[in-house]
Amino acid sequence: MAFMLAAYGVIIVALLGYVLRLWLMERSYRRQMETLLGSESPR
Amino acid sequence: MASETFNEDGIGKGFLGRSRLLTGLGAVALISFVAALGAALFYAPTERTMGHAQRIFYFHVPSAWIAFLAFFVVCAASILVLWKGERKWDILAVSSAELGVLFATLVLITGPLWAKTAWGIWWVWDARLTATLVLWLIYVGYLMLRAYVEDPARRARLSAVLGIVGAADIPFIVLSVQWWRTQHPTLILTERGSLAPEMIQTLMLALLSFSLVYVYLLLRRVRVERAKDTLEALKRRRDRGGR
Repeated sequence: MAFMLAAYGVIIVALLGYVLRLWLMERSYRRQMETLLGSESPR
Repeated sequence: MASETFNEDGIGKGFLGRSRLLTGLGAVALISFVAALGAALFYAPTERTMGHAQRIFYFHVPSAWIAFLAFFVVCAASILVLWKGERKWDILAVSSAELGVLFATLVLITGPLWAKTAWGIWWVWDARLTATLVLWLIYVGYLMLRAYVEDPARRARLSAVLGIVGAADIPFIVLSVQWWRTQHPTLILTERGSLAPEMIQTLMLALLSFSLVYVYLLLRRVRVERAKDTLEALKRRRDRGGR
């Protein structure tokens, strides 16, 4: 039972962790893009 | 020329960017994953000899299937990188490679957890297990190679070669249980005395669910890589304008 729960736990945490990583990466890139585009606009 | 294609501004356009479609796919993938989890824990009967540990199988097998699928996609995309020299295939290859490594890692963690109960040991150096570890190492190497090579065109070409060569290990893993007497069990679905119908249904649901999760994560990863490309293109434009 403990091994089964460990296996399922690892899978769920890994997948959620990867989704979180993608979300953070995308948010970081989009924020940097907005900053760059914002600094360009007055010129 | 491949190098020109890889250095254009605004590269990577043309892949899915529709947010609503992706959110819908994510919702379907999540629902199917929860359904598969429920079926594995509550619907599938408890196996007589291994007990609850046998339930690891319902997520271990789909993880392996997705790892193989992901590395096959890397191989196909890598062929297109060498042939067409287009950045979009390189984006697909690296996105799928990352997912392949993720799912192969899950295979290599859940397998020993099952083996400790079934065999009494965590690991044996049999053909299938060793070849799976080698596959994982090859694609970890693929990601490391990409991290170390700075020139985009060179990085794409070198990693494409490794992406193609590495996939040659997949048929070896699949057929290893037939070629050699291995410790790893063979999956029998059709013959008498094989899995109970509820077990097969649960496995099929888990396979479908993991496939949907893979497609969703792949499209999300592709979108992230496109965003990175756009950001780099903007930085280059700013640097040119600042001079």
